[in-house]
Amino acid sequence: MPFPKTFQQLHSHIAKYAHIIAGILFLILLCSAAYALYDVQTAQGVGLYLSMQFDIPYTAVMDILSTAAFMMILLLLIILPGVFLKHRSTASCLRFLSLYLAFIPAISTAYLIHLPDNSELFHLHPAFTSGPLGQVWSDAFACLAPILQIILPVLILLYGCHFALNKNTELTASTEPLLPIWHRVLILLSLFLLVTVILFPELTPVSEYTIWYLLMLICFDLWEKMIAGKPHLQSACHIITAVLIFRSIYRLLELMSHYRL
Amino acid sequence: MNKKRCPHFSILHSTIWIALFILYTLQFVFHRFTPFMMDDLWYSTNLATGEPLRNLGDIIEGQIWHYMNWGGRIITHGLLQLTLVSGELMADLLNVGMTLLLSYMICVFSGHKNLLTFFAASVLTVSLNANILYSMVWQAGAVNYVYSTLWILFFLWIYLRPLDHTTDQSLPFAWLWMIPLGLITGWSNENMGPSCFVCTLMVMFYHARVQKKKLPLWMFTGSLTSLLGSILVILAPGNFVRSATIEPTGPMETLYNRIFSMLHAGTDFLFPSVLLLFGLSLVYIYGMKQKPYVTDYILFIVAILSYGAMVLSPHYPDRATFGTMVLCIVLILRILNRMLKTHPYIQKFAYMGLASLWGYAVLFFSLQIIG
Repeated sequence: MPFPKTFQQLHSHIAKYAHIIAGILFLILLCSAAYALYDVQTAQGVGLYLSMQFDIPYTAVMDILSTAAFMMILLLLIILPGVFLKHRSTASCLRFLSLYLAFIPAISTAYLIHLPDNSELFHLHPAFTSGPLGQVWSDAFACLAPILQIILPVLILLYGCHFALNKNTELTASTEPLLPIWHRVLILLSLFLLVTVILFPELTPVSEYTIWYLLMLICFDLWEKMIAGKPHLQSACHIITAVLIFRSIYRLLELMSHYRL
Repeated sequence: MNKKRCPHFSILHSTIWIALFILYTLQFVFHRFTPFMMDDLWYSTNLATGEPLRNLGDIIEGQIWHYMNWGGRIITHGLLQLTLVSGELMADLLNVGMTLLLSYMICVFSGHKNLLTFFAASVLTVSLNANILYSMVWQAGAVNYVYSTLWILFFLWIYLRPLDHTTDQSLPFAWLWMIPLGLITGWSNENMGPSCFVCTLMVMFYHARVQKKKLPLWMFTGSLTSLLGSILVILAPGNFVRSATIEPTGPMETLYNRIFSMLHAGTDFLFPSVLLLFGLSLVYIYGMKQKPYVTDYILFIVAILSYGAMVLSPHYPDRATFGTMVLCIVLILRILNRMLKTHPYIQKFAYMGLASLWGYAVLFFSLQIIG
């Protein structure tokens, strides 16, 4: 195989192996997530709690089994949207995994494991009965602030880019609405979940996580459509993917250092 | 936008004015609710004697002690002491005034002195900020970051404006007033000062070699004094006195800490700015097939240098990314304004995005005031 002499040759040379590189990066990120998950959930004592619950003396085995179960759920959350939205390439999976790890708020495994035995899940915010209603708004605003700062501008930016890039092409907004019905449904669902944050504070972590996940699905769809419509954007988008991968690694490290330091 | 033809123009204009009024009022109230604290209390004294500040002589004496025993940033800390002796109300008014000026300077730098750009600059300075309290509201933070970024931007704008405009407007006595301006720019802080010096070199090289123009005298005086300022801030004896007190760590631990702190700053503190800048740039360059200006490239390099220079520092606090964030905002607004000019139909998305970020800024200030 001749050695590439120009940048163009080098680029096409690398492009041949793009799916392999994307696959390797996907696996590295996934393994890092598994390691972080194992680290955090052993620190939180999930395996210990489960071994006591099911009366199994092997805590280490339970730690591994619970990590594997959480990883299976994570894998489904990453792969299923790509399958249903028809963005099935390895690069698409990598992009969604990096989006997921870079943006979505971490949810405590200890909280998740105690979710079924939490009898106060649907108890109204105590401020409704005790009086200081300002606390309700304060809690809701605390959840809303990062959405307004990060995810909503990103979503609007993506809609703007999608609209601007498709404006003069055959694939104009006339054939495809800017806001497809399922995007509207997800946005409405997110708004509904925001109400649950106000009403039921015990559900806040799950609601917050779900809001981010739903909005992230729209971001992912818009991003993939943008790349599919303008393939020359793909190589440029790698820069953003790289930033997201770095942020994912940082977030995983931070998550582990939070429990270890 | 055509003012006469668009019926919604006056409504939009009024809405932006109201939104700006709410934002700055809340910011002022937050300033009023935040007393002088932490370093402010120490800097309210003559650093050499520990007595409360009484006059300018005390500030000078304290700053000489500071330079020899604590650190080189005596321009900003001297100014901080001046604002501290003026009292809390005056300091709060000054801080809001300087934030307004900074937003205006960002508009000037972005090449669009209109209400929307001013609104965008005001909103982005708050909403992309990694630590609003410690970089804009805390008195020591406000002087170290908001005030110094204002004169740094002014200095950079003086250098970069000949590259943006084809006409060479002469600057009266620039060779003279560039001496103090260059000095305080270089002396401002350890990352932005040297980055500004490198910027002057890049501009001078481009001016002389590419544009084949004669270099004006003010470019030399500004460049040399910014170099001098950078040397003075980095090689201050106080820096060595302080670093001697830090417990030394092994090379691997140091390497991990530096990589982690750079990763932290780049992908967390600066993440919203970087994401917005990269997203807009990619669409502008690859989607709209437009070419960035030379000024954009130089500003981008200065932003990277100001970020990268912190690898030499053992600590990279979130507030230290303020200067880099402002450079990113200037770039964002330069690109966004050009995009709006060629693709006016994306204006509604810009308004929606800014409304969301304004909502965040207002929520943040409200929560801080209530809390």
